[in-house]
This record gives sequence, structure tokens and C-alpha cells, in this order.
Amino acid sequence: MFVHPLLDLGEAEDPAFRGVLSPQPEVGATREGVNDAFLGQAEDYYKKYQGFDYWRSLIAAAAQRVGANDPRLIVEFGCGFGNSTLPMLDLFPNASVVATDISPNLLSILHRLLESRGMTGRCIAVAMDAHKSYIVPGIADFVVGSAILHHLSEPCEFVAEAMRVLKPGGSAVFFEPFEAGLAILRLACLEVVAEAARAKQRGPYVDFAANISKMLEPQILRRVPNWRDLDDKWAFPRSVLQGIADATNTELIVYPLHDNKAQFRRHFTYMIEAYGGLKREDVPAWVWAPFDRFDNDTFSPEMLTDLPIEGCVIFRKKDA
Amino acid sequence: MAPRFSGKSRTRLSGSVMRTGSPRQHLSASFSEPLTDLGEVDPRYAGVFTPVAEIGLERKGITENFLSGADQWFDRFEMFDHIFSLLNPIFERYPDAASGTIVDVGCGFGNTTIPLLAHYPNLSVVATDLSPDLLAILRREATKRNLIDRCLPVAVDAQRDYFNEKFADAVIGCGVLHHIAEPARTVSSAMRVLRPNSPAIFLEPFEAGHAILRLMFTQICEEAVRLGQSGPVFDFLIAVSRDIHVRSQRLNLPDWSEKWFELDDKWLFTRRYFERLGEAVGASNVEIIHLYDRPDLFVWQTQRILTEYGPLRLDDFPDWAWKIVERYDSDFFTADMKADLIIEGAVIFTR
Repeated sequence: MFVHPLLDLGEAEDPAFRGVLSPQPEVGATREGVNDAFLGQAEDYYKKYQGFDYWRSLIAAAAQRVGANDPRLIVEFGCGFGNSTLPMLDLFPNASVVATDISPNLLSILHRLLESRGMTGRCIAVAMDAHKSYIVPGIADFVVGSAILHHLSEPCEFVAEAMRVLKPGGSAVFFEPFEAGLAILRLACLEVVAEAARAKQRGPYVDFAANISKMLEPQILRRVPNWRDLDDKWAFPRSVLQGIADATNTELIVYPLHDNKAQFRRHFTYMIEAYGGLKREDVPAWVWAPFDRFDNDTFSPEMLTDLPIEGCVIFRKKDA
Repeated sequence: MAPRFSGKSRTRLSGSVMRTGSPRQHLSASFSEPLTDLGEVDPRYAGVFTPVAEIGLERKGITENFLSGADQWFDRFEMFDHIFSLLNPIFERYPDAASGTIVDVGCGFGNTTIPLLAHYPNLSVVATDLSPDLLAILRREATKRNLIDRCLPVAVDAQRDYFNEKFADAVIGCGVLHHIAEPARTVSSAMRVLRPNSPAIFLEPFEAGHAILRLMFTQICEEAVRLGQSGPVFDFLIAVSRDIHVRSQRLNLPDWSEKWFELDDKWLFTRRYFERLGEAVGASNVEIIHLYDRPDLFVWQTQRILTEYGPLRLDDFPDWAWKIVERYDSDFFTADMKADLIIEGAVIFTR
């Protein structure tokens, strides 16, 4: 399945990477565009971000959407420690998975998890740069890149590579943040800050809203000079994805990942509790007002499905 | 798109059915019903045709603007060049249509029909509208330009199927679906008349961009209250915002679920709505394109709303209000996102 021989990085690079394979030209390469959270801190990342059930439900829905009921060969890009890989092996009992990532550290966790489940016969963990054409063309029934696109500075090049690997009629599935929903969320946060200034209100929720808007700005507007070095590079407008679909001659399907009812209040609640250490019951009513306005008044319920915070992005390769 | 909350009118075509000779034979053959010249009923409508079965039927959902007020409507809204500049980049993607037969649904006095006929010498147009008054103007304008031989004005309800199947190389509709209570019937009818792989192209207003306009205008009006300012410009923004609110939230507004049917401008569409509609009518593809790709989208549209839809001048709008509008152009969304926040867009259903 690979155009170069695969070497075991446990022998070629570091015993800690035993069982992780890599195409020969990648051995010893500098891993560019990936930060230390995914390399030296991989075990901490694994402990913090396990979400097998969550990813399982997303992949099951996307596969059903494109009729990928029984794929035999799945190629996964950016698999990390296997948040999607393990659920896919379970969901598709006839499938083999080529699970690739740039980080051998995360892949060695995946290899450990595969070994403990006796699944190394159905899945190989391969350390490689997803932009490079190491995989033989036209072999995959299904490509998955759970949340990889928004980390890439050139997502179009990568989608072209995913399409190269797919069989005609096959689909590549991604789960990504969207500008539409995040820009509106940021507007709500800015409104909280503006209202606080007008009413001379202060409090941790005001500081938190200010921080969220500041944190989202580079990802949404993409204007900072060091944009290529950001971990989260994109909040995708649909038009950018359509441009990628046009450039790669594929069909684009986009749908929101979550129920969009009360999505702005729900997302802000999640953020203040998960990242702000605040409790929802401590947030005063006037802070909720802009979120509720965007959830219930500014947009129709159907419009909100066009304004996802997170969405599933599917590129379907046209039939030959 | 100026707010128009009132105006309900129903008209009835009556009189004896008089068959005439064959109006532009190849075009009248598009109909499954024989056509009759309405000039036999009322000389003002000479050269405007209608299916025989349409005689005497009620014309629902059309306001007086489009009937006895048709001439004033023409004087105010004739924009052949502007409409052509929007439609043609899409239309010219379909060379078969440009030298074939198309149906212009809700053609009015010819904002789309006239410039298309003038630009494409091999094009024929079946130009349909509910209003015989507007069609009489279309006939006048087409005759004036020596285009009438390739144009058949037909007074017909777009929601009724009088056409034969699979004869049209394209269906176009400029600003028509948002006036119709059930656009699905019109799109379904368009699918029926199209040849396979041919497009139905509709230019329509969208909720996404309008919702942002309402957000801006509401913010400006709230700021005006805080600053103690008032006047016609703020009253107008309130009216525009209310219009957008009703057209996007009618299902959640108890007072509007019935009254909504009487509005002239009924809909602001979403992408999701058109995707669902395309699926329901069996379209092989649904494509949505924004019509205004410009970095100053919200400033430009605000200028249009104030001066073209409203009776205002740009300097009626205070500087602090322009600053609010400018922020929506520069601080909140990327240019790519503004392409998704469609104010007016094209939806193309392919059969």
C-alpha cells in the first residue's frame, strides 16, 4: 500500500516507538508544523482528550450519510492516539485501517492500545507527513481525518492527496470548526464586553468573554503575521471548503455536528465551565442576553443550521 | 425590498375566450393548453397571451403594485443593465440555453427577458407572469427593441402546470420565489419543463446577509436611543429590521403566521431550505452563489437600502452609525465568510 518500504521506528529511530512504522524517507525527518503537545507531551494529551464514544457517534453518522456501510480499507490522516481509529475498527468489522499521524509519540500510544485489544492485525500505525504521496493511489474505500484540516496551512493540497488515495465514488470525512458559528459566538462575547463597559459592570465572566473573543480572533480572521505557526489555523467559511471542492473536482457535503438549538448559550456554558472554572449559575442574566438573542431572535431555526460552530465536511470523489 | 406590510389585491381575468392565430408557433407549442390573446378581453392587453384554462381564475398573492400600478413600478424599477450584470455571468455558463428556448418565470415587465433577448440573438423566451399589466409593458418594450418575434408574453400562475415537459434549455426567475407562498411548486414545475441536465436559475434574497443587516440596524437604533437621537433615518431602519424579522421568523411570530401570506416580499431564504427543496423536487444538483463579492458589502448594501429602497440621503446617516456598519465589514468576518453571508444570491437547481 506504500510506495516506499515501511520501517519500524522502534529500530530505526527510538525504542520508545516500537511498532510504529514509517516510510523510509520519513525516518529521522524533522516533524514540522506540530507542537510539543503532540510529541513530548503526548501521554498528557491522551489522558486529557480521550473521547472514543464521541468520535464513534460522529463517524457512524458521517459514514451513514455517504453510504460507507462496509469499507474494507480505511486510510486515516491525523489519527493521533486513535480517538477515531479504535471506534472505526469496532464500527466496521471487515475493515483494515492505515492510521497515519505526524507524531510517532501519539502513534506509539495507539500501537499500545491496539496491542492491548489484539487488533494489530487490522491496523497499522504509520508516522508520516500527510501532505506527501507515500500511499498508493486509488486504494481506500473511506478516508477519515477527524479534525485535521483546521491545523493545516494548505488544506487544499492535503484534500487533493486524500482524493488521490480514495477509490472513485469514495468519501473523505472531516470534523472541523466553522467561522460562521464561531464569528457569531465572538460577536456575542464582544457584546458582553461592550455592555459591561456601558453599565460599568465587572466580573470574571466579563474577563472570560473578553478572553474568548481575543483567543478566537486569529483563528477567525487569519490576519496575524505568525498565522502559519498557530495550532488552530482555521475556522472554515463554507466558501473556502467549496473552493477546495472545486479545485479538487469533488462534491462537497457540509452539515452541523450538533443540534443548533441554543448553540451559542450552550457553547459559552461549555467554555466557561471547561476552561474558565466558572459555574453557569453564577453568570448574570445580562451576560446571557446576547447569546440568547443570537439563539432565538436574530436567526431563524433553519438559518442556524447554516451557522455551525462545528461541522462535518465531506469531499466525495466523483465516479470514474 | 422596502418594507411593504399592506396591500392585498386579487384580480380576475374575465370575458369571452377568443382564440387567435398562432403566436410565435414554436414558443406557444411549449404549452399543453391552447393560448388566447388577452387583447380580445381588454385591448390594453393586446399581444399578451394566456392559457385558456386560466381565464376567469383568481390571481392570488399579487399586490396592486403589479397590476394597476404597473407603469409606476416600471418607472421605478427598470434596471435592465443591473439585472443583466448579475444574471449573465451565471447564464453564460450554459451555452445551450443562450441559443435555445428558456422560460422566464415571474418576468414582470422584462428586467431579465429584455436584456437577455438583446444580448443573445438566437435566444427565445417564454416570458410568464401573473400580471397582464406588467406583461403589456414587456410587450411594449420588446416591440420597441424589435425583440418581440423571439418573445412570448404569457399571463399565467407560475404555480400551475400549463407547460409541456422537457422542452426548456433553462428556466430563469429574477426575484420571483420570495414573492410566492409555496416556492416548492414553482421549482417543481421548473424541473418538469427542463431538459435533463439543464438549469433553473433563480436570483433571490437570503436570510444570512439580511440577518446581519438587521443586527447592525438594531444596534444603531439602540445606540441612537442611548445618544438621545431620533428621526426618519432611525424610523426607516426600524421598519427595515421589522421586515427582515417577519420574513425570517414568521413561524415563531404568532401574529404573522396568517398575515405573512399577504406580504409582497415573503421569504428570505436559507441555504438549507434550498438544499432540502432541491432534494424534494429531484434536482441532481443545487448550487448557491452570492451575487455581490465586495469587501465593503455591508456599507454598500446599507447605502442601497437608504437611498434606493428608502427616501433617504447618505448624509442622513450619522458618522457614528457608519462606524458601526464598517466594523461588520472589517472586524467580524473574513472576506470568505462574507461570501457565505449572502444578501442576494443565485440558486441553481439542475434537473
